[in-house]
Amino acid sequence: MTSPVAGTGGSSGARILDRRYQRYTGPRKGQSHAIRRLALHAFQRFLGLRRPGKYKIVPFAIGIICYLPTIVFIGLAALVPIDNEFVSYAQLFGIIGAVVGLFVVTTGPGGLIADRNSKSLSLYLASPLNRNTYLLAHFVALAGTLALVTVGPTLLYLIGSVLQGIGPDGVGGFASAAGKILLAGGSIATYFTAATMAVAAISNRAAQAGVILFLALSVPDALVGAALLNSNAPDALLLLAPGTLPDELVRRIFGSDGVVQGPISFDLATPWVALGTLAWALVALAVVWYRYHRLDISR
Amino acid sequence: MTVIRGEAVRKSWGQTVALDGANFEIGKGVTGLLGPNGAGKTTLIGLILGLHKADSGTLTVLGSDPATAGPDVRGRLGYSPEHEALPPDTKAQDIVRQLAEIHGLPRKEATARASDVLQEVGLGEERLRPVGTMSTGQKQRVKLAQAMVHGPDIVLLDEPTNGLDPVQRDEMLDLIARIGSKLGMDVVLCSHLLEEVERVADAVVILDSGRVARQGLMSELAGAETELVVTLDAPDAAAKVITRLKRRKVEAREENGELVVVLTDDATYDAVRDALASAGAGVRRMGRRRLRLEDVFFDDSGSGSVASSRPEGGRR
Repeated sequence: MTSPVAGTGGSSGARILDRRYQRYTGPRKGQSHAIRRLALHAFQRFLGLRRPGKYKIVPFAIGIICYLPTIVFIGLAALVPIDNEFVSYAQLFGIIGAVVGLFVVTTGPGGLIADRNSKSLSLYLASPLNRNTYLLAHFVALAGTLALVTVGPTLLYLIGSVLQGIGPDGVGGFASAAGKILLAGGSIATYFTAATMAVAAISNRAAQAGVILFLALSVPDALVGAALLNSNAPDALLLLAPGTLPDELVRRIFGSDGVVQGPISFDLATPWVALGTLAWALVALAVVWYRYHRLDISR
Repeated sequence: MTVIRGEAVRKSWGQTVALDGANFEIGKGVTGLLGPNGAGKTTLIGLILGLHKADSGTLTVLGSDPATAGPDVRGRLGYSPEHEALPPDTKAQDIVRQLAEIHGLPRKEATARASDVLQEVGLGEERLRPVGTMSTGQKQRVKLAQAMVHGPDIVLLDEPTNGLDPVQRDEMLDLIARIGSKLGMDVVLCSHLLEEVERVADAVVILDSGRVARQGLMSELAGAETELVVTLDAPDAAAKVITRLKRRKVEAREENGELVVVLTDDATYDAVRDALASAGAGVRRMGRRRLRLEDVFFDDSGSGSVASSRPEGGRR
């Protein structure tokens, strides 16, 4: 940063330093570094970090709401002697699921939309990033943020239960439960990240995107639910319910043990449920890709 | 040395031809990319950044094709767009540091340089303010800071003085001149303002309707002190002097009551002296003047849509 510009010589050996900005000539890191840094900055933005206070309220309130049941259940287990967990992991997913949905709807679409509206997208794409790597960084950031509230509380609950002596038995039991939690939480986070990005790609206002996302994940499900309840429609109709599929996938991952079954039970093979969830996620990502590859960002 | 070269570059948007077989070379130093709105400047910047692909022709930036080597090329470029492009709720220092990191600087280096570069552009005290609370002039400085923070080989500045008052504009142009001279980065200054290109650029590429109307070093295009302007005691004596000069094949004309002689070599001075003496014309004042970019531009494109901030009744 500073460089000697003149040596005065003489006995003192004093030197004059030019403290003004000098051009950087040191080593540079590559594209993967750029992706990681953008992902980290986007992650911080989702959590409201390095932003004014009003942006921190919703993420932190939702974080507290998501972790509160876990802390309460672990606390109760310490006070009341019981043999098993208060709730199953699938039930815990169900409890925090609504809050995760709230987070997705209120905060999720903001990142992509803000970059487009402020036109800072043009600065990012004038860097070593391109459209694909920019979207990848945002995907990682949002999925990571959602994983904080899908995987985090449940994993904490598992660890707390084990420490209280009411968790799964042995290393195998712990690893199995942890694996299921990571798979279920990761699936939910990835799925809702894809859905959120798709809606964010086609909306220009975060509030509008939130409404669209809510409708997209609830209206088809209501119609499918009504059809399944009131007619002899095939259970494969579940594949047309983008809001219900990921919940059903979580149920299948954890098994039916302790799960409060809703009014509809689906007689659909688990691979179909998984494929249906994946298909919706891929459709959402295709929408994002298409939209961003047709975006004129130089004006 | 050429840093950006285009050969028959063509790019259209639907039916609109933005660049129509443009041939150009941009070398070291500060180069003005000049042209009226719609001339193709922003499209060319997009092509240089590898954001679009040319329909045909060849474009090389720092020896590479930006359409295929985009990330590598963009890592060596800095870009300040014409439009506002900064997130309003982010502090100036944060966005500059973030973009430095994305351009490959290690975190500590990016943090230190973000602070230094904002100091350099005159925002030392303001660097911790959210960009949305800043004035237009301050935002332009933040955009300049983020374009140069990572020490790029080329800085692309698209209308960097938009929205600035005259004092801010002068300061911005001084900064741009310093980037091109003292900091060793080559600058492409995209502008529709003749005077600011003339003030800081070493070379110019003039675009008009997607074609390169003229290009070259400023000294070659505009010439160095190419005309001799003589104010005579009696303006009506100018005609006699011009007649005598033409006999000696010296080009001269009358302009606003003054005698204007095109300087070709030192012998022209002798011819002017002899013609003045022969015509008996008294001289009140005599001086050389440089042909300005405005003259070159209007000669080439005939376009009136490039803005000049010179007063009416001035040079043209």
